[in-house]
Amino acid sequence: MQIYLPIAELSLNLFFLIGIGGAVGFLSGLFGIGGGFLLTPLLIFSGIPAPVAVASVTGQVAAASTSGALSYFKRGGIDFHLALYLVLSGIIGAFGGVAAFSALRNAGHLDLVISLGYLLFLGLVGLAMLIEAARSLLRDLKGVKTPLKLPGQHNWVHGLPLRIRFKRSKLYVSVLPVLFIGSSIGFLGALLGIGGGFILVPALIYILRVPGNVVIGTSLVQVIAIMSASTILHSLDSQSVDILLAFCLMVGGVVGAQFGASAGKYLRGDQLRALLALIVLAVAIRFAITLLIEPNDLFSTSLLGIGG
Amino acid sequence: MIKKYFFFLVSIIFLFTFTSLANAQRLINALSDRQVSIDSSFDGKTISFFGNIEPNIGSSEKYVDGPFHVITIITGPELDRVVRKKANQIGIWLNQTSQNYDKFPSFYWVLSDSNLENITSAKILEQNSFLPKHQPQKALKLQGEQNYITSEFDQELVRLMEEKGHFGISTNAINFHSDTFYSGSLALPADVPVGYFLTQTYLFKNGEIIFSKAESFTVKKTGFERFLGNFANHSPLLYGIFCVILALFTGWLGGVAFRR
Repeated sequence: MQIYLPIAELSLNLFFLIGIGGAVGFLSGLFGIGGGFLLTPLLIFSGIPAPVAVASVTGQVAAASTSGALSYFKRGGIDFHLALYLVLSGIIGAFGGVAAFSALRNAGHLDLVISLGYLLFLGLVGLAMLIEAARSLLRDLKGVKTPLKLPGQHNWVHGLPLRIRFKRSKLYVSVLPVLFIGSSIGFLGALLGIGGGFILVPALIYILRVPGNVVIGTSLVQVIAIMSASTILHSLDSQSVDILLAFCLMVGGVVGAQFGASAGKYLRGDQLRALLALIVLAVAIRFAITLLIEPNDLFSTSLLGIGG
Repeated sequence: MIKKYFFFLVSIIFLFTFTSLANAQRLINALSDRQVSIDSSFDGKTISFFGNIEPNIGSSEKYVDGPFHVITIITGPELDRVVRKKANQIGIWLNQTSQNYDKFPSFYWVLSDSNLENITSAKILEQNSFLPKHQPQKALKLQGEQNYITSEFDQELVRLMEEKGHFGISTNAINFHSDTFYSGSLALPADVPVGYFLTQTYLFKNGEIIFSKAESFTVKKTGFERFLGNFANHSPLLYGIFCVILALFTGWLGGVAFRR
């Protein structure tokens, strides 16, 4: 059944859209990620213009993160004080991201920056995750028990000025790295159409030493806020949010996430991380191919102005 | 003196016969749709048109004398477009050079009843910029480009538009059912541009254009699609906020329904 998307101005199969929403939702439930970094490329590769794909996925990621955040909220797994700082800086970053998005689109370099951005971030994050997961798996094979070393350890970041106490996270840390992380994720999220959870969670754990019981809930709050702000900013700036497209993806995503979450119980943490790392790397490689290998068609055409 | 009068007479007669010849026929034609509506199940639409060639009003002739040929050109809304070319820089393929085409047709199909070379000469086709390949030059001239040399961008643009199915030539889209009655059709693709379409029909006899007639139709979003498109364009802030509320609500509903 074909459905006409009013903003993308083309028609796609309804079941295809709900299907990829569901497949990505399954992975997002499995790994506890928003899934934007998978969904945006999938939409671009299936012919949806990059601006519409990026802008519409922001809405989908907000939806996918909401159900997760709610369950963390019930368990008390959210540090709202920390989230406030992340959200405010994140929204400022999102303004920058959307401004960069339109400037790049007008200059004809949006596709390039999206590809480069994905390649760089997914490549680095994927590699780091893979190495970490492989080490953990190897240690496990040797039978060495590894103590959870993170809480209580300090690094140079904790020596910065303007320190603030975050009670729930049991942290007394400078506000500068918090604002830096928040605004960078906001910028990248709006520019690349990703929630940024897969960068934010490691950043909170490894840089700020946020404890495990609040890190995911807090990062989900930040993701919802940034993605909501990006959706509104993209609507205002380029009118490229396709609500019908976003809604189809949301429905698939929300349902898929439930099945993913139940499936996740049958896999161990390090196995999950290794699997996620491989998926992240695969997407990065896909982007590397488009950048490094001579394209079949050197020429491309697009409309100038809004919606192009 | 007599010679001069004779010349005058001949030229009058010549003029008279020529104009009466040019106006001896006229074309009565019609389109199947004045408006193509895009709703949520829109998946392309076929536009049909038909016409009849008959003696012009006031013409002394009772019958028209063929054989006739028909070319119908369907032009979509004119929009500003850019063509970009990728080049390899420090190992990365990126857009490097580009050419803008202002007011370039977003849709351009040439339909005819026979191979174009059977209908008229290449010279007439080029003089009137009838073919898809003439469109880039036409746009560049209109936008006052100083040095409009035919560049590779011109033909690449036409190629890209043809690959999208938005440009093309179809020499069997029109059929003559009798010496004077014809019908034709064109399938508009699902991603047809929205806006005002012009259909220009040219009647040919012995390779010359003897009559032409223009008609138009519009492609527009209707119902829910139109509402959403207008909503997004006219009140983007509200639209964005509505999208966010929809997203949060859907997420909340999913969480409640499945009790994660």
